[in-house]
Amino acid sequence: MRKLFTVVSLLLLAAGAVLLFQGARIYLESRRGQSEASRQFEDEGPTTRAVPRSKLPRLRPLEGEAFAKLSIPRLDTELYVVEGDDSADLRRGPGHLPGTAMPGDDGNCVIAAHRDTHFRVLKDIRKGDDIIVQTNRGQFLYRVASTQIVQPTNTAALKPTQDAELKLITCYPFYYVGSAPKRFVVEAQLAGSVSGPS
Amino acid sequence: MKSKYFSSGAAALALGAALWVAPGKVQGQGPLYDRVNVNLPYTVTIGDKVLQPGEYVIQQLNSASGDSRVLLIYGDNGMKFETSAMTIPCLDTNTARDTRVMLHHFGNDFYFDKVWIQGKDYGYEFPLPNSVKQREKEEMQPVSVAATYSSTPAPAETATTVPKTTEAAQPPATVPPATQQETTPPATQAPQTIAPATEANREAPPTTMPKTSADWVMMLLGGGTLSGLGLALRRRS
Repeated sequence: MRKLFTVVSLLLLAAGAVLLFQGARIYLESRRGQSEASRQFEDEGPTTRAVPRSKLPRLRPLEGEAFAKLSIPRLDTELYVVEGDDSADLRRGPGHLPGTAMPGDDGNCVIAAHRDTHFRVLKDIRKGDDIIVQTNRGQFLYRVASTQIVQPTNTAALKPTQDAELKLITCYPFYYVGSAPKRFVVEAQLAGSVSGPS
Repeated sequence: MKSKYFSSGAAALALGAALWVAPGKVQGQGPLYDRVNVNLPYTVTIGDKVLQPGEYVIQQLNSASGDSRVLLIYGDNGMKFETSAMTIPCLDTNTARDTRVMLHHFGNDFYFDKVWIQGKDYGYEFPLPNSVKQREKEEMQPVSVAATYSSTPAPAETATTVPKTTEAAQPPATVPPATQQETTPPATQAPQTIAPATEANREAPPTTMPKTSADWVMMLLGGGTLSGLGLALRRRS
């Protein structure tokens, strides 16, 4: 009996240590991922020469590449967006969903991030807020038109659009232990741009 | 005594570290961003926002290249973010003698026009909102007023411009030229707006919502609980 207790306690300790390590790793990776992404993005440096938006070359970032900087001035937030939405990408920063429009392009640009790391700030976003996205093609100003809470099965936010729109997606409720049951969607529309190829 | 030695040692270490770090910090400061303080005497409209008369700080958005054309406007002594605006770069062959914020006056409304910065040959131009441009255009455009035709002797000019055959049908039935012009541009613009959208979405759009929960809190809580249980069992055994 004593031996069994010892084995079980060792197993519990091992499992606990693994979970603690994993939790800490995810948190630290999300912090480190942003500083790495910032370095990668700032090395390229966005430019702002006046070129019509329609004449810009297409942006084709590689999977995991930091290609945009997203700022929400009212919330004093700056985040570096990476290409892709798998777990490794989202640990580094907000991820642009492949298959959706690029920032500044006509169409639906969707960016997702974890609610318990990078997109925690979205809890304070509200209608009319400015979202500025900088890429090496220019700077694009979006204005929040609405926010909504939807079921994960509701994929209307991912559908292509004709106008230049930006959707920011994260889990909801923001303070929830475990996988949150809903999704929080911020819908913003392009309000202005200063474009220019690098 | 021991603590005194420790504190003076710590102070020396801190001073050393500060001296070592300081030059690096100065070198790594990056580009300087334009910042202008202005006291607006009028209510100024910018985008959807109306800025009440008062003191504001207009600041360039920081970017790696330092040439950002986005201006952030703060009220409350630079503490409260009000709005941001995209601007167009404007150049002057002469450097500005003083920092100046110019307003565009239209009717009873004021809009930001340009910001010139002392000692610099460039400035920021705020594009006029479409609604104001429209109003300006409307003011500039000649206004045509519908008139009814009568068979009393008409001046020679009108008789030459209007063919006799259409005279009878002219008053309400024919479409005025102004409305014809309005309907043509959207027809030509439509393909331009649709084309990039289809190009951008050439790859298959996603069909499922991404997983947006890192769960690190749950892992830490779970790990802590399991470790606690393990320790408790170990003590018991």
